[in-house]
Amino acid sequence: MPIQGNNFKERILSGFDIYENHLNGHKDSTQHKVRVDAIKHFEAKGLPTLKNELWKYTNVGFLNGLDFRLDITDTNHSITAEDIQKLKVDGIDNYVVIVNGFYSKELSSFDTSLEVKSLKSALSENKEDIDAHFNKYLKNDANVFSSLNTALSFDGVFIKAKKGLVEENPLHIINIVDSRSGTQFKQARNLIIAEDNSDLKIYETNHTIGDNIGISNISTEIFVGHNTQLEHIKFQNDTDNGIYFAQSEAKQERDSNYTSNTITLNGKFVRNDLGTTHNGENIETHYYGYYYGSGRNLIDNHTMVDHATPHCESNELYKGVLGDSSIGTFNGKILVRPDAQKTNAYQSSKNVLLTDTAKVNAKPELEIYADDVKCSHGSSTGSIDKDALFYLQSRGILPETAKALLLLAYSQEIIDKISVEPIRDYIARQVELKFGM
Amino acid sequence: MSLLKVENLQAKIEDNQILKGLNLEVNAGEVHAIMGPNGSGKSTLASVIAGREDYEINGGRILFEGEDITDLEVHERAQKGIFLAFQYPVEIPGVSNANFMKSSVNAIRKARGEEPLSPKDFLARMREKSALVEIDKSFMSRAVNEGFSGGEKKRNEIFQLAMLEPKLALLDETDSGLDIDALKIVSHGVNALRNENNAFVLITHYQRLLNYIVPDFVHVLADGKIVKSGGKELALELEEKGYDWVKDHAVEEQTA
Repeated sequence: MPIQGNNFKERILSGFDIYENHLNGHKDSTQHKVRVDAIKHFEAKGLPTLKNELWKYTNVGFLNGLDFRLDITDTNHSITAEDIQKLKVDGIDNYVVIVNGFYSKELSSFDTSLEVKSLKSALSENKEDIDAHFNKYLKNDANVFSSLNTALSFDGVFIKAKKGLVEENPLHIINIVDSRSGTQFKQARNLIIAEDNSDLKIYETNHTIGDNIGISNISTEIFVGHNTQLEHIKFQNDTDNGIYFAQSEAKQERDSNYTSNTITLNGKFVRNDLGTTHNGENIETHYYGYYYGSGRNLIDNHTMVDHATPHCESNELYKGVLGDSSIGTFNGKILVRPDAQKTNAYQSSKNVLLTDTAKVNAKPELEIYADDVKCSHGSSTGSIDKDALFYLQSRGILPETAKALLLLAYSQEIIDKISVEPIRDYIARQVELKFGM
Repeated sequence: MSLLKVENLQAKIEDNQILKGLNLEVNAGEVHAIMGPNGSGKSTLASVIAGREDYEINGGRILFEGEDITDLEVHERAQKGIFLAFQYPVEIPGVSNANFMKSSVNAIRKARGEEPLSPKDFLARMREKSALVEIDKSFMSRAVNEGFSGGEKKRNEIFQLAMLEPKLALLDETDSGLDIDALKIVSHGVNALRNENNAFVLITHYQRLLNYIVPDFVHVLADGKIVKSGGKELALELEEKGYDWVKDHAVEEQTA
């Protein structure tokens, strides 16, 4: 087995070399050139340090200490249908499974009007869609994890809603890293195309199965056509072995509505980069998020709404609860470009610290270049309301229960935004379990 | 028997000594009114009996049914049957009144070794008790006190009192700021709940409440002590002569 160097960058570069050496005559393909550009970008930039503005609160240096072997075409795993049964949600019968970055036809099950297939198949079968949308929205230059994904990913899921299609049943994307045989670093690449006048709901979860560290680096590109409604729910409740990097970039056309709801309850490390660019008038973007940190969890949410066109609205609310020695970061940016007159953009970040050792970094950013806009942002950090605790306890309620009631109530505002009842109930129950209810 | 016995109670918050040796005894079946000027320590007394931790007790003790509860936690006192109707009821966004009361009733039942109320019995009790203070059905699903008017909040306190049926109820200025209709509803609720096994301590600034809830005893609190006690007629005398009369009176008694 070849040695792959002893830091993250060396492991990645030598793993890529090994892959390239097996390519023989295919090195000149367009697809491979895209990979080479991306890996060169990573080679030049390396892992971000705290000096990088977008990573100033989040140190990824620990990746250097992880011992893994990068074999990017390896599709072996030992996940079974039984494993999947534990991960699916009652009442949500359409699900696609990705294991170690590769779409698993055997483990997936769906009966939907959406077009659902592996990204690998789509790359050869859906040329027009791929040319129009693939690798068009992801910001490879701005985020090395996106460029790593572009360089190292081979598969993922392709989801398409044709013009005018309304699919009421949500599709659950179950992303698994199987770390039973050793530490893993796996990429998945997803493409969601919601054509004009369509309406769909996507539910995404990530899971590490195994006693070793599983790093999942997922990039998702999303196209939201004219007058289209897309609800995108992400629920992150992984084990303490899970390290998760997710970049999601959406492009919205006029009259469309994109709602993202990201709920994080556990994971060793979670970094969500969520971005949307507007391309037309009367667009609505809603970002909701809730995160609960315990132990030494690190949960980082970076968001960006690019108001490039007039008469659009964005509305953002993230709420966090941080206990033990966990760290939570929220960095939300709203960019209002000169043409984006009559923009309404609101952003709010709220945090509750449960201990003296928990920490929160909240950084709201507004960058406004248009003069006729309504924008606001707010950020607050506090502890549990002592008066409310006293009030509940004065009615005989135990201190732990009183605390749990208040924390549940705090999360409710975000969970209530989920329109799909079985998912809303499921997540609400998971939050209750977290607080010992 | 004696339900509540406060002996030589001294309490302070930070460096501010508020209660300076207060004595009070309340028996089952009695209604006591505690009156006094602002800053005399009325609300502190109620908070300290309920177990608020912001205050440091630096002397004396509190007995409830003969047991020393001075060091018990807030919820333990509530489970024993002490209820504080708050002067400023707290708003709790996201927690419905129904959920709040269910948690509360069942926590108290559990502490007494009783099974939780069945959903049916719980609902029936909610309905019966909300009718007592003229609260409508939609109230149950609303968040606790959120967006309530002052009168609604006070009615909610009495509703909770009715739900929990405590042995000792401390009403901390429940009447302050109430219009006459709300005052009548609140008083009616309290009078309906009075019986030979429970007791009420009404902390009030105004004599008006005592026209509707007639006390057995009236105490005047000034500068952290009870300086005068008497029957219901004492309240009228106070109303007429003002608190300065009692203060002067107290000083005379002390210097005498």
